[in-house]
Amino acid sequence: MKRMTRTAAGLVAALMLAVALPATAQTENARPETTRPATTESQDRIGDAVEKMRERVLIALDRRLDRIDRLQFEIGASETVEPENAAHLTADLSASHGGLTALEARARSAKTIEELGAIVDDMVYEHRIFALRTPQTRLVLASDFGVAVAGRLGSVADSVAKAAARAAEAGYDVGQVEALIDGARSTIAQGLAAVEPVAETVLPLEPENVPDPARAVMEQAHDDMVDGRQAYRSARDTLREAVRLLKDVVGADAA
Amino acid sequence: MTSIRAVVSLVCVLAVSACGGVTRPDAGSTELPAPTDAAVTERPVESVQPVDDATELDATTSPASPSELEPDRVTTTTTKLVRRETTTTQAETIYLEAVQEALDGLDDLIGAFESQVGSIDLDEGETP
Repeated sequence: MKRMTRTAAGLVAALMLAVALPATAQTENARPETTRPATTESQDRIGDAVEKMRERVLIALDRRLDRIDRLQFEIGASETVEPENAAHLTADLSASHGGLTALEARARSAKTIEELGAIVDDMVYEHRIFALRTPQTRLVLASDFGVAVAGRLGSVADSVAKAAARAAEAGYDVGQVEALIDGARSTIAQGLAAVEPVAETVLPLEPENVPDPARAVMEQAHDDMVDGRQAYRSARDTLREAVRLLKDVVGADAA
Repeated sequence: MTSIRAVVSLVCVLAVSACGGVTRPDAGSTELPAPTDAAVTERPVESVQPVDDATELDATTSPASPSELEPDRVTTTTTKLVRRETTTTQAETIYLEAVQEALDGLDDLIGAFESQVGSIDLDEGETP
């Protein structure tokens, strides 16, 4: 059943690619039961339709190969991605790169609309570069980056706490400052709890998981990243308020 | 006889002066420099350790009873209190500047994170 659905969908995708083709060519293609012998003129039209579709298929393949290159670059440029996550993503993308390159060779030698339709089918359903690999890769990179952001926020919170402790030793009342720092730390922890599991959640997703359950999993992961982003903003603002208050307490601005 | 008393008085005064002892509170307080800002800022801030100052202060202000304090020591303690508060503020200012810089650095980091999250598009789809 699933195979039939995919085949039908692949045919639809192939027809979408051929939308700009002449109406006569589409008519010829949609009536395979016709017993009328093909004239040279109609063969030329079919040949034109195949060539135009081939061109579109090659462009579509090229877009995906470019995207894979882009994603590989983003993984390589990331200073915070976990090595095992980078390896997992790279392996998936490399496999798709190989598969799409093979499809490219097939598309160049394809002689019929049906062959090209099958190639489109594989390109879309076997690799899911845009619907899965792209958001999956970026969610993982953002998740690992978010963990690093939490670490930096925690480090700044420690510095503010140290400054507050020094002021307390000197006799200043820093109770409110300490309360703000505690609040910031709690918010950082909330943000970390939201972003850290995202990588582990989305990494196992494969093309056959699209749309279900991949779509729902990635939507939840995206929501978690947005929550984490909001928590980090809030923590930063709270730390900023703590430093401002600490400056007021010790009269640092006037010194 | 009068000359002998005069000589004895002179010897006593010289002896007291040689020991550095000052028994008149007003005279003692005027001998110490006033705790002016200039006096405080003569010490480089980098060399000031507030904790050390506090320790020094504790040692200075731990006589058995207030009545044992000599006038000049009271004045010295006052000087150190002023110095301690001022240098602590300066040290905290420097430390808070560093904290502020770290805090400002968070803006870029969180901005990059927001950009990364914003780049995630779940609706791109697979349209050929």
